Amino acid sequence: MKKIFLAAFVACPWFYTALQAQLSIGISAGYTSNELHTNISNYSYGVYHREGGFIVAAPVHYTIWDWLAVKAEPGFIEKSFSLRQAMPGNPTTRLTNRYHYLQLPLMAQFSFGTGKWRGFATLGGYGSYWLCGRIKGIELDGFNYTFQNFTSLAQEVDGKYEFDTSRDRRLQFGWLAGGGLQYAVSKKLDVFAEGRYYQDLTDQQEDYMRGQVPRYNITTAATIGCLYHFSTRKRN
Amino acid sequence: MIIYKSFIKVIASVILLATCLIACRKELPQVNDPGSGYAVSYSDLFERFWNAMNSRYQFWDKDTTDWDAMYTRYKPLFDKLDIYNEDDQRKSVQYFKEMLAGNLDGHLQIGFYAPALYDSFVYPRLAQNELTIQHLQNVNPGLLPGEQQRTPDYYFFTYYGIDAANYLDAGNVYDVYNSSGLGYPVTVLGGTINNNILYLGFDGQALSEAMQDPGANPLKSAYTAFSQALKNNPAIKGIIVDMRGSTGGYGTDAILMASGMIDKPLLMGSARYKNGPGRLDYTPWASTYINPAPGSKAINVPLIILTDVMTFSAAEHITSALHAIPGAITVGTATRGGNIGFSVNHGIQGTRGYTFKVANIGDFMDLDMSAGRFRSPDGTEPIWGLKPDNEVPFDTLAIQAGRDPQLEKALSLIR
Repeated sequence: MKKIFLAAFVACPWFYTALQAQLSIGISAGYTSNELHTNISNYSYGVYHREGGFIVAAPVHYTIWDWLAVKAEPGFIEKSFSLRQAMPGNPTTRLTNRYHYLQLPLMAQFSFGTGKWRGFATLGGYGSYWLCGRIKGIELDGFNYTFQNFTSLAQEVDGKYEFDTSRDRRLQFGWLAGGGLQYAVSKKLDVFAEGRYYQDLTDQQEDYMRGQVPRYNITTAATIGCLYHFSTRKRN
Repeated sequence: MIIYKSFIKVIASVILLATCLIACRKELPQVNDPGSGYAVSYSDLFERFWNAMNSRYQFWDKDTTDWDAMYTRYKPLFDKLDIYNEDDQRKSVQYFKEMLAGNLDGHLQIGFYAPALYDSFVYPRLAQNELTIQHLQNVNPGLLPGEQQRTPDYYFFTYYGIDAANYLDAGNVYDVYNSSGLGYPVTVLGGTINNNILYLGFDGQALSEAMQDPGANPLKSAYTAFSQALKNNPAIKGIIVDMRGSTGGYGTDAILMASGMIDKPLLMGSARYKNGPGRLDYTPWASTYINPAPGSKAINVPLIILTDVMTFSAAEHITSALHAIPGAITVGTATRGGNIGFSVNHGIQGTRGYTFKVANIGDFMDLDMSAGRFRSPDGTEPIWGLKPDNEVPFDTLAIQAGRDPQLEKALSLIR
């Protein structure tokens, strides 16, 4: 047993050096556009709309071959959507749900091209943890209305999203695909721009009621970032 | 070439895996608006009713009714009913009552269009609230002055006749205002007691409408006299607002009345609404503040609000708003427990005269519900009514003798 530990201890620096040779880390940030994929036809006058958000991530990139790498990209992402109701004769209500997740995408990156400019495509999956949320917007005021024409005044609503363990599923999983361009600023530093598509494969809700309609987030993201390579790259 | 083939294999494998994963995602079911179209059978009607409750009822986070179990139990029973058979129609009314027995919504009620069911009415809060008819047990209709029969199952009583005759000073306003918005008349009683206590009561909330009426009307006259005396009469040493027998109407009446008695913003309460068709989809609680009316002053005399089991909906909002004014006291018995009554997500207005609609279910019945939840300024939710600070029970014998013990208690608190 002692010999195994000793061998592992001696091998560590070599392993670390080998790992470093192909490892890159970076930072990225960008804009997200999210829609809630569900069916709301039983909710009179109600329509879900896309809303914008943001993403911040720290990509960790491991190059296997010049054209193939695997990437983990832990980060923080905001996925939002709004529910609007336009009841005749009343102000249109609009309630925007902003949900915040810790997200861990894992993907393969396929690169092509030579020289300083390279293109790439990514394909993989992700897991995310629903951290918190907020609901903000305009609702019809229950205390300010008239009976003639059912006209109501509007009221501002702004509050924390209250998690309910019987309703909310906090772990989400999905798949992703993307593509972008990368530019080698130096032998150790790249900058990149990427567009990516995320699609939930798991319902946001627990199975808590009969007649439940699943809800999935579909998010597109546009990000820019930079990547630092621990060793000088060699290109084919 | 080897690298190229490997690349293709990897891509193909990933695409296959992704396709399998995407296929695992649940399909979105077809869902229909329960209020659209006609119900052609009891099977259809049941599905619409059950789904309307499922998506629009406000209290699923507190109601302990197993609504899924109700589907399992009652679907086969409704499937056996013939929608054109009058005996089956009456049976369906009983089934609806059973399904809604655990209901927490004071506004929830069902009215029917079928001729055989015209006098049928499902109103669980009345059945749940024994106090509603406790004073009517062993009492025949018409025995009490001011008593009216509203439906086969419940009666309605106001104190105005007794109070106008035996307590208020001469020259009081005791009249009826025909509210076009509510669709029914509102009785108002306003004046003074001993020339130094202001009294105002009305059995429906239509003050907001009456004050906008360019012409004269009794509700406007009574309230104008009340608010002017409040501002300008230094002899006033107390205020009584009588919300007994007041069954609701315009929520804005609470704002109108309270704004004339304060000189800084007053937290009236807070509300929340449904935020989607899921049972537990809610907005956050949103507070409503009442701003002082131009030129209004904070009252510096006792304010007593009278309540009883018929005090409901917008009358409870008035009670809650006025009770939030420092020093205000409530006297009487607990209110009925109605939340925010107007329909946010309503269908078509029916022909039975009900003003609020959540769903015209298959053109067979109207299902009315609260469209929001209400919370008092202290954070409590008066689902079963607002309890008074001073409990004074209904006294049939006193009423028959022409006395109003609840008003007498209010007067004792002022004198």
